[in-house]
Amino acid sequence: MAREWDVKQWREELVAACRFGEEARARALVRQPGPRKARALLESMLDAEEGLVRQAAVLGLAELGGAASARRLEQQLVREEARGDRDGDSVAEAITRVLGELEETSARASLVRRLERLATGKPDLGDVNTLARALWHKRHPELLPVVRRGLEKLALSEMNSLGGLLVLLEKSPGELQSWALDSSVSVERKTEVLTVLEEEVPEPLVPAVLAFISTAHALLGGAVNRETSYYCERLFILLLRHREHLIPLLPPESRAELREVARRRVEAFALHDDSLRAAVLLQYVGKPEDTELLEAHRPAEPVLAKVFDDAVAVLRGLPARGP
Amino acid sequence: MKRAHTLQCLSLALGLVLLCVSCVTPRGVVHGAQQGERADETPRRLAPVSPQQEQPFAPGSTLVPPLPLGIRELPEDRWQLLLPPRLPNPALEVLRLEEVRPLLDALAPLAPRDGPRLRLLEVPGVDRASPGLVPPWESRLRQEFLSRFGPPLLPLPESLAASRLFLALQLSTRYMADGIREAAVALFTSPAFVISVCLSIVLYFSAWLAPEPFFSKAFAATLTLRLSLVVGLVELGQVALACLRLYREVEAASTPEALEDASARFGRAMGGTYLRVLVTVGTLGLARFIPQVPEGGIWRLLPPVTSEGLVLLQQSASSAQVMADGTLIVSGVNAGTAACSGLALCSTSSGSPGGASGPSTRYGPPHTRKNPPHNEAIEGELATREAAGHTGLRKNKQQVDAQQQPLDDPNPVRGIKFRRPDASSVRPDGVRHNTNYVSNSRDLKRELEAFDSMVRADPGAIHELYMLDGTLVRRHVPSGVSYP
Repeated sequence: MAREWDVKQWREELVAACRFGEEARARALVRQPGPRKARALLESMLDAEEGLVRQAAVLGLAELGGAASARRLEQQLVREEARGDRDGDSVAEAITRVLGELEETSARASLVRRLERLATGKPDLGDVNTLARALWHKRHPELLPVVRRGLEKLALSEMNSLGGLLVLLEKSPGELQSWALDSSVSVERKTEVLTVLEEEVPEPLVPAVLAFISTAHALLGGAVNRETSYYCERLFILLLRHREHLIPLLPPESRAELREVARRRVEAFALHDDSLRAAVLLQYVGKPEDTELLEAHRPAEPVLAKVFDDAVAVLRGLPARGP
Repeated sequence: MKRAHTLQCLSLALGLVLLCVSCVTPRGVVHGAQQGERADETPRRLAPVSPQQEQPFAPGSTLVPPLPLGIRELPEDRWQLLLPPRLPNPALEVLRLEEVRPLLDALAPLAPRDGPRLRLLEVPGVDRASPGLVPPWESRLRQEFLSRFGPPLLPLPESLAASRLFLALQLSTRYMADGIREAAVALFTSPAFVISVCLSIVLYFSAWLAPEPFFSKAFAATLTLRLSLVVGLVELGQVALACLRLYREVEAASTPEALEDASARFGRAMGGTYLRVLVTVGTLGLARFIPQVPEGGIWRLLPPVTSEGLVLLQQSASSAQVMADGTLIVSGVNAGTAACSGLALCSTSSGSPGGASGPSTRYGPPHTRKNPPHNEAIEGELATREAAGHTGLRKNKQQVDAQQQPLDDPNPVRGIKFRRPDASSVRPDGVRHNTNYVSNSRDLKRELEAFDSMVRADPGAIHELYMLDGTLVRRHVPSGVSYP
């Protein structure tokens, strides 16, 4: 009886951890029962009616890893797609993400098959973007024709990550660097590439990231429009997502460029709450004198105001205020 | 290779389902495993059939004694049907050329007549047509099937007319029984028909690869319900198995002999009843292109009235799921409709608490009473938003921006980089709207943390946090945005 209750409790805690995005906690929970028992429990959770329970099972199986997980996850992916409902969509998204992260080589083939299935219909743009990001983790020259064919079939009119993935697969690091600086290439296409790089920035592509920063700086000279604003926003997301890795690698000139771009974003968009990431970035590349700018544009909303306050505190060399 | 591997894995699941189905539904036995359950959950038998309804199927005038059909009401307007295996109906085991002639005539203009049977002897290998060279007539048929059945679960060959599956189906008529061969040869030399069978396999029968096939599209759900009622659920699964086995073997065939063997197995498996099912599924997928054959005409190869007296064309469902215990769970068979009276369900559904059609089936599979209120709150919220004209409805998916790109928390707390709002949508004026529900009051601190994180990730969106009783905990409305 007590044993049964423990399993129930374990399952509830795992679902809650996944729902709140607490990956470390979820990983620890998955390891608790031992791999064999955990796999059995997780596989039974895949049959649950509630999408959140199935999502938790997906994350758990990914944590266990191995060929068995990869196989079971692809099988589940097909089932979730067949459901054709919102729960199925959310679980399919979770599976796509974890297939990108699994080390199993078969995961790439699973993702390719997902792309082929999506390309036969009119998929949700978000699903295409998630898949492109997952495929980037599994980058390999053999993906080139698959991605090209997928793009042809999908004929997407909107900005999308699959287009960005194609550019990344086609170009060498040196070519990508030149491409990022090429003013004849549209900002939208460059943004597409940024959305994929957000997922992972391999070491050889760090110079290309510097080129993307230079491009953002160059865009300050032109008219500010929705496309350039969005480009900057995605660049900030990329840099902040990999802040521990990328920020220390920035040379002084890139830091200076980035600082100027961030300052301009704070000045121009503070009223529309769009300057939050710029404020966060300033705490990494800004100077003490930027505190004035941040205080002048500090939003009223407490959650957002705290982000500005934290940045100011860092820039002043003071410890950040507690929650 | 990849396809073959997937199929090997999935066909194992299919085999298990069919094994379960055939084991738990012995002929003539209504399941009574739930005897210990509440009285209102006891499986019911259909009301006696009126003499007027009890018309035997015309061909052969062989009366098939009705087997009991078990029905049980489930929450949320769902019904669980135990469809016992049907006794063999000799009249259905023969299919004459005259019976399929009207369908052949209707299908003829849809595609150019195929060449001589010499092409059947070509060596299998790489599909013969160049990739991408799909004839326009095939593209039309594909699109029609896709719009009715949804995306395929199996890889769809670039050109079906040039695929091995097409060849194998044509070859299979050589091995069909005498009573059906003439009609089969006529059918399988019609390119439009063979394409429709290929599409049926990839888009409909492939669902049986899943452990518990689920049909969320009303078209496929209705098709499954009707076919199960008229030929039996086990039998329908057997047709699917034969089709999927053919698909797998054809994919794996590397010699003409192997292809021929696969065709032979399929041909021998096709009795008259199974062939009738195949023809019905295939032609229904093309119904829009053959308006001269009304829906009743497409169903003409199967009995118009089941052995229980149910008028086949009156049956419909919005979703259907074949369960591992050998039953079929259907939803969308609402009280007061012809389908309801046809299934004799009204007598058991009136007054049921789940009688009024709620919002919960609109965004997900039907829920049982096991579902927590948290899920119901999300479903209700999404339904309300859809009614208000919101688009981009998402449930428990990663927070995204207007371009459907993921949004991270720029200042993550405890290393949590992104969130999955319970309900998300885009208002008609383009403003994103995310809502979370406190699923457990003990988690309020985590909920508030998640709320702040969502605000930081997307300050330009509306964010809300509610208790399950509808009490608002927090709301963020961006500057310059009107609310509601």
